[in-house]
Amino acid sequence: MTAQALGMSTREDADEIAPKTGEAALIDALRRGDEAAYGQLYRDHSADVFRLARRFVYSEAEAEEVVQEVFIAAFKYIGRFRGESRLKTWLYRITVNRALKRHRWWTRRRESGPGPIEFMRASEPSPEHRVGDRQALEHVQQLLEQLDKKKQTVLVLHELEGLNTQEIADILGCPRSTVLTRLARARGELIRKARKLGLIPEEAP
Amino acid sequence: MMSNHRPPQQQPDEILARQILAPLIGDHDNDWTPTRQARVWSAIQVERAAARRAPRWQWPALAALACALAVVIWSSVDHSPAPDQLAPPLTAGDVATGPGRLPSGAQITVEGQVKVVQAQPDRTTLQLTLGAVESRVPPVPAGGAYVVETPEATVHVVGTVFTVRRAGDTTEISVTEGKVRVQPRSGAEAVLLTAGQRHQVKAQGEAAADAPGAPLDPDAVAEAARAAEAAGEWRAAADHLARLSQIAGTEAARQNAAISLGRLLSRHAPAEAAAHWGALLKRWPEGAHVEESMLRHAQALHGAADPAAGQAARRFLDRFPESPFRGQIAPIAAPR
Repeated sequence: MTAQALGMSTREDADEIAPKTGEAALIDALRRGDEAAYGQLYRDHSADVFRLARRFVYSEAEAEEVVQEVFIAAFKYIGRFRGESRLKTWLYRITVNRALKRHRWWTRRRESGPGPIEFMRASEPSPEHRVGDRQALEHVQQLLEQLDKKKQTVLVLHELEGLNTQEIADILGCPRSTVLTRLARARGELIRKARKLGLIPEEAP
Repeated sequence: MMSNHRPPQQQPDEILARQILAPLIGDHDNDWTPTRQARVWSAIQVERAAARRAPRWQWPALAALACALAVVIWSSVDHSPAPDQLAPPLTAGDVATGPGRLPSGAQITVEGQVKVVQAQPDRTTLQLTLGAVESRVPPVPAGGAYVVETPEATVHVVGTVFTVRRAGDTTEISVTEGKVRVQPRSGAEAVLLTAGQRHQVKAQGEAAADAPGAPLDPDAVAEAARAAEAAGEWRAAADHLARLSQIAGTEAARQNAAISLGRLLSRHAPAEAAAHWGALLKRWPEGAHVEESMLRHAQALHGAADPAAGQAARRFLDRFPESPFRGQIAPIAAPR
């Protein structure tokens, strides 16, 4: 499901988004402990949370665990949600924190080798991802993983999840100017690495 | 958002970065399956229910006491899977996956799929073509039988806990409690296995090719591998991937399966991984996978304390001097 399909703004030109009326009602219901509202929150956002988590952890099984943690935390702490951002932004904030925490743990555990690349990635050829595409996908994935986590996070949230820079700032708890700086540096580094690997042509003189 | 005044070869970083990342857009869109969604929701509900039951005034001493009690209980109880009392027993014709029970009182846990051929109180026959089935079988009455069939063997039970696993053209039987008799379909002499013993039966000639379940569907094998991995059953996943690396429809798919298997083994069994990556590089000496394969080969050898690790690492550094993994492999290459 793309960001556009979810009705999300995708770029800076739509930074200010007010919470929807329906969402406000959902938040009220969640605060009242309405079980149906919990189910709706999960139905509405679990796919997005899984997809985002999957970008930071090494396996689908681990991403499932992140989804579980995120929604348990969300149900528990919904009372602290001030409603200043969209529910999705709030859930993404929890997701990024949980997923990166796991990633750091793995990194500490596996200092002697590269991360355990999700093994099924190479054995699930689908119509969309035939072998050539899959190899390209793996190259790009590895390229992304070579960036430091701060740069990787802003690139993932902006370019792959379609969030605008203010939403990313809300998620990361930093000023929007910091996000813009990180984004520019991340793009530059990504391009340099891609050129070095021959994924894109060298810069014209 | 491309600026009109820029020459085409001077694309802004924003567009270039987006082009580079394009293959990743939507790459996980289909991974959140209804099954996965339901499983995680169920886990969330269990966790929330447990949290509601937990008292809010736990004393450290009470917690310590609870831990001690848990250890005592854990060491004294049978850790077998709880019988699924809510589900009806399996009947003939059913295809079992996961846990299940049979009219004989036996409990089974299936990785992959098992067909129930016969399901009577005194007589059970299961057919396994892929994956593994663990059986906890109460004593079989006189004249009764509990049988697991695979293309390579028939396993007869008296009353026991045992597992039959099938990967490739091999059936492996391991016995936890009691005794089983294994009759190879080749006509070879039957083998009696007791607790702690393991035995393999390999296919022989045309008998295996004509056996039920063959040939196997690559998609089903890939699905079984994915399911096993999701369940944390890495060995079963490895078995399926090994099979897939032989039967997948294209050379590229077979190579993908072999690489996936190597990654899995690298995580769990360095010695096996070392042998696997070595064989993989002989089978496919060229291609995009070589950097990773050589890297993991050297690392696996190192993990298995094999003296060939240094040489493998040096070969990697010679061939890929600019590799981003150079820093990780250099210590292995250093002379001791």
